[in-house]
Amino acid sequence: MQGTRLGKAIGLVAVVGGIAVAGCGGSASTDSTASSGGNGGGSSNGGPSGTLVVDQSFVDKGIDPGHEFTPTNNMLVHAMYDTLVTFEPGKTDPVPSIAESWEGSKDAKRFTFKLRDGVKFSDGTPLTSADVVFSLNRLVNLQGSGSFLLAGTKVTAPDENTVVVTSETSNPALLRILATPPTSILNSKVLKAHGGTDAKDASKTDKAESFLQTQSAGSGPYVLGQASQNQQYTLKANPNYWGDAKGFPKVVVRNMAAPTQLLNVQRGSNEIALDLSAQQANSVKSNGDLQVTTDASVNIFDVEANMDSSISPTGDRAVRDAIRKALDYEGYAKLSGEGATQAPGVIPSQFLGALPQSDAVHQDLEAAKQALGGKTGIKVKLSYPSDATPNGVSFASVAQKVKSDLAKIGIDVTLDGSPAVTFLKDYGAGKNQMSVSYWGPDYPDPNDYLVYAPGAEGRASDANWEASDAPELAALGKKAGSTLDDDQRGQLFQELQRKFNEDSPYFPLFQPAQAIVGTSNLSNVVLDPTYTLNIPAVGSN
Amino acid sequence: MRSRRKSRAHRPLVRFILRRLAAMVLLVIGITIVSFVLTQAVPGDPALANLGQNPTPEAIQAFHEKYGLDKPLPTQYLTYMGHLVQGDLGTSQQTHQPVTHDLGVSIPATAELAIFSIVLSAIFGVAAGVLAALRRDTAVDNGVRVVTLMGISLPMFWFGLIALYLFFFKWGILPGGGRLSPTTTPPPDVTGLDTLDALLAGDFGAFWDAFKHLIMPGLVLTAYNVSLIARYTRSAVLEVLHADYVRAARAKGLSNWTVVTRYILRGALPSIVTVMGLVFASVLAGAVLVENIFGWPGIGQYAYKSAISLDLPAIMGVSIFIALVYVTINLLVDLLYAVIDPRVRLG
Repeated sequence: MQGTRLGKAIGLVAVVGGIAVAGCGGSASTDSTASSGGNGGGSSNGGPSGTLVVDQSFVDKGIDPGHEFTPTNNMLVHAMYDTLVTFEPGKTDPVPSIAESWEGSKDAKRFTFKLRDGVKFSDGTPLTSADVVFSLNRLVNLQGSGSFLLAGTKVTAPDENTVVVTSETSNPALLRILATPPTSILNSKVLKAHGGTDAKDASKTDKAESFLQTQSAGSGPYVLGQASQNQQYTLKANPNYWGDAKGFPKVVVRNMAAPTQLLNVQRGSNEIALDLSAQQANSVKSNGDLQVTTDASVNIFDVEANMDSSISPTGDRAVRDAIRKALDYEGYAKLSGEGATQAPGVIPSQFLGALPQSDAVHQDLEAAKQALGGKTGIKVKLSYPSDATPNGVSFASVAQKVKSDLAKIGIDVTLDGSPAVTFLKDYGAGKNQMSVSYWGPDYPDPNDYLVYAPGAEGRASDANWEASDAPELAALGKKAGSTLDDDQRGQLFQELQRKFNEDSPYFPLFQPAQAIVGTSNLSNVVLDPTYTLNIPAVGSN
Repeated sequence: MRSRRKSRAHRPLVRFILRRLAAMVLLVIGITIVSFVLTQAVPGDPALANLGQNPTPEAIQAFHEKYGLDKPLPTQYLTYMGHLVQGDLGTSQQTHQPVTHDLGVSIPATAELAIFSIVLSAIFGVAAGVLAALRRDTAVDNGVRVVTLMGISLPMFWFGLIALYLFFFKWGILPGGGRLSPTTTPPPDVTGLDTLDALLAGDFGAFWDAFKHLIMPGLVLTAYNVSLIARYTRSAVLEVLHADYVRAARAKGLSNWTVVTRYILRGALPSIVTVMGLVFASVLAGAVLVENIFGWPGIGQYAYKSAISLDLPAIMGVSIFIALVYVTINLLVDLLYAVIDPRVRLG
């Protein structure tokens, strides 16, 4: 519930967008210091050779899977560690990884995983079910950023090759959760030798985090070569990798500001830039040496209203109706540039349960004025984090447009920008009258969006939306979250969002454009909803 | 007898240094109080800043317990000070590493940049300033004035991007961001200064790579400082240019070089030393922007990230370090005054 949301956006403040000084040609450098190094050709065994260089504006909390939960760290951890199940690049359906097969109980409370034979950690130690139990228990007991993912679960190992994960409540999302990097499997013997523990008091007694910042202890395609937190990580191919390694033998992931990334990717030979704005990416679209993709990200910008009438005029349904009809949704998507789309609901278009565009709400100023029913003098304070620009879009620009839109129906909006750390405090306490917010998935499953259902901890509590305010929606959320069949589950989540669009504290605006630019010799340069970039899958054409 | 007289003569200087060192301790205590109070005054919870938007109550509690945020403020402060006197600056909430470790990584990176920039600034700034003063109101003076005005006026961020565009992207003669190329193996960490560590390891390839990475961010930082020093030097030289002792030196038939270096420059030195102190300050301030553009993992980036995530131990660590730098520089400047000008008495 923590990782990819607004809190992460704090770190994105460092992403400086908008300055595209490049865009014209330049011959490739023969100087190794002016390029990424490596020639991108095939190696003798058919795989790529050289060094893959990935530039990103880091939000770096370290690479201990039990503690991390940021896009930067997820990407790195996924390259060095395996999970029970995983996702193909850009996809969200679980496929086998350490577990070669699994079986879920009918009530989705119990999942039994059969581990693959012959999996070894990078030091040659065989991976067993005891390592899985240790790693998942450690994640929960560390009480770190990703601990909530497995809250309420119990992990057991009936034998060396079997793991059983039991959930207190029906949890059809568990499979997708077990593909996220915080649930990575660590070498328990190595961890214990360096102060690691999965005990209940691990949040106080575990001492392995510093060790994992200098050395990896996983079974993934890469091992940690060198780590300089907030600067650069070097990954090297794992000589004991059990699978079919397709990636580069060496990968360097560097912390770079977006304008510098734009220049680097044009000079490099095996290079990827992850933080360019849509405008920056489009400035190099005509460059034949590059591949450019701008697509809607899985993150959503929205406006959230407080449901408590004693705090905000938006506690009045008529005001909420008017606001919903007054917003110029198509205009918001344009703030982000090519690739951005209107968000018809709170679940992004890439996930199960997303609403089609035909369900999107559209601006209708006359209907908005009618909804107000002649009420005048409505004043509302709109809070937003003033120092964050996730996906290259500033909250301030969104807030200014909201003010302009609502002025057209006579609602007077006062803009209240503050640093993200300050914004979060009042927002989390449900004190803001109205907020511009941003939400990214923790795992690619609609159940992650149950925090929007009335009475839920999270988005609903931030807006003071109690279950008693809309009991039928609270029940619908509960039903959607525990339905086993994915088709039915998707339909129930769609139904829930249609109800949200009739009346709720949420006004989904847009999925901002997210760009990925790589040199054209690379394959699988795809934005991934879970790992940002699936590094082990990046190869050479 | 002679040695007693000598020691008595040095006593005021020793007393002066001791007094300044004592003041330094008080200043550090003051800095810790100010940093602590101001950070607490910001209405935000570090747990929310570091754990995300909606962490579970258990995670927030664990975070507060881990970093002692569940204790009363005076207890937190006293605990911090208790650890500080043992050299423990606490654990950073954003990197999860000891602050001493983080500073140990980021300070050498900035130091390498700062030393490079300050040395270049001093050499070229003083030379340009003296030349402009000696050739007052000529094309040389005007040229120096225009160039230094540009150096002071150009936004460092913009200048950095233009430099990257030209020297890296367009001409490919210098590397882009970072301290080393991805293909270069970092030298063993001895001083944290990559150029020096590479030399110590006898790895000249790594030295050359590290040096080339240093040039562009170093020159961008230098652009402002060299201009500042040149303008101050010019004014200081002009003030002494027609002084009696300079005229007397010329009348004695001393060479122009001797007059400039031994009389004019010496007279202007106190002003130049003063501005050198200011240059140290501007290097630290400029490092925030330059480090961001060039992906340079120095104290500027660390300070910025600490501030936006309300990382109190890191904020305190950076504040103490910067305070110590300032105080030390001021002390050195004062001592240099006494060395340069015998009329200045310390103590």
